[in-house]
Amino acid sequence: MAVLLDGVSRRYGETLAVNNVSLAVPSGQSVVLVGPSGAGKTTLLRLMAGTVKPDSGGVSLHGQDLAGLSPGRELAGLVGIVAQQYDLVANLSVLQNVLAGRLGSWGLWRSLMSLVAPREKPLAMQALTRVGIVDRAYRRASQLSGGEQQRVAIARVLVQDPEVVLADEPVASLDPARAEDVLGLLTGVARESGKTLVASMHAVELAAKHFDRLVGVRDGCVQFDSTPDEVTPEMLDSLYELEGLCA
Amino acid sequence: MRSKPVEMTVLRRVGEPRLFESRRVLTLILTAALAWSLLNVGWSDGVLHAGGLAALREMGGALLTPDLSGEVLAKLVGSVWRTLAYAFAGLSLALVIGFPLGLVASGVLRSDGGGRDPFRWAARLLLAHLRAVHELVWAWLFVAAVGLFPMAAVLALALPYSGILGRVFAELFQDVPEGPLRALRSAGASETQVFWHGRVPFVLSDALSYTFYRLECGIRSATVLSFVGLGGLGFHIQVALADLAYSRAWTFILGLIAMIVLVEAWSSAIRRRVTL
Repeated sequence: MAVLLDGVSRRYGETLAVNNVSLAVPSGQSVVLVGPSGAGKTTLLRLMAGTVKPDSGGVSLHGQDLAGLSPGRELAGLVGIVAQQYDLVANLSVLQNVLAGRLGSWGLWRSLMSLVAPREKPLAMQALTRVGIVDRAYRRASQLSGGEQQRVAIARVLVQDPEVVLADEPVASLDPARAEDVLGLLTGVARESGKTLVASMHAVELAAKHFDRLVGVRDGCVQFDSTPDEVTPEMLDSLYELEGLCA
Repeated sequence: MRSKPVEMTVLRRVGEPRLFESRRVLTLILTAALAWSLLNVGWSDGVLHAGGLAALREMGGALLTPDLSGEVLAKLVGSVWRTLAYAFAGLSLALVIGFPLGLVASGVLRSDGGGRDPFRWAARLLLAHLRAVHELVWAWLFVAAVGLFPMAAVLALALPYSGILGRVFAELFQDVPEGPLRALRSAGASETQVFWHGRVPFVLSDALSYTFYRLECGIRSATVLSFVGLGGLGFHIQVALADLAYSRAWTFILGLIAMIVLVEAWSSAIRRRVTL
């Protein structure tokens, strides 16, 4: 399994953000976690990224237990992140932002040299061509539109080349047309490079169009887990209705 | 909240402004105070200096006829050079002292933000001390200590400026958004790499333009410093004014303005090119 959550719980103070969740994602699958805000989607993604540790249960990626891994080179080879706010270094060029995906593989000296004379440029240009903004390579990241910035973030994760890509609300800051494009790109890139993709979204219809599998999350529990065409309006109603119970 | 009547009364009180918090009442009081103070000025005796207007006219006229004789121009070039040298040397030294102090004072070198780091607090205290004393006061102190040597002017500029630069750099380093830094970490970057690829690019252009602004201030300060006898533009302006030779004074003042404009043009040319 590319991602394996085994009876994972995580508490923040009084709130049980994730309540005994088990989830298995096979390699190459694209999964989206849907549900209302505060359902625990982001915490689930952070648990998979290793940035949040579970109170109980275990998280493993490709058979490696995340409990034994600290942030750094090894974790970066396993999992990469695309965030809602793109999180680019605003004053660096697009090219440098994409190359930042290689920092985990580079030593300090090599990375410093790359700030002056970019290393492994063909790799970055290839990624930028794939996401359709190779003509922006030498612009400052801050000069790009939101949709273009998210493409840069996708190119960065392509260059980082992890086994699993996590995307937390990747298109929530974009207008509908842009969201459609960027989401198509993200899932397309994951599919053709055989990456496992786990995203979180609140726009269910948009998500159903692009992902292989929908997992409904509410109050820290998994409410349903199915393919897009199996999801019924009743399932969505119960996911989003105001009063609900954990199964 | 309904079960706690105490909080309810607090909320109600916040809603109603008291008499002196009302904006209109305050405006009225302040306007009355201004009117009263204007009525109490003795307009007839000595608010305006009787001969001032004539002197102003003379100075204004001299602006159109600055003294461009060879002797004065030679002095201008020499004193511009000297003033620039003070400003550049002072600012370079200020950067060397201020940058590392600012970096330590920002606390970003520590993973916990340096909340209890004694080095961080020492650096902040030192920076505060350096900038608490004005460069003119430092100049008097150094002239008293080492005499009328150029080193006195350079040190007098460098100390307060390092305090100011360090303080501003510390704030710039603290204001870097966390999101992009987190993204770099998740791509496997070490903390040193995060510093160079994340914090430095965010800080660089602001730090650069602030340093150039300080260079401008340094030129003006170096001009004033020469009033205490350290030579340079200010000295010549002072002498010309004492001689009532307004045309000559204007030559040096125009030289000062030209210097500031040139530094501004230079700095914007450099800032435009800084993209990595």
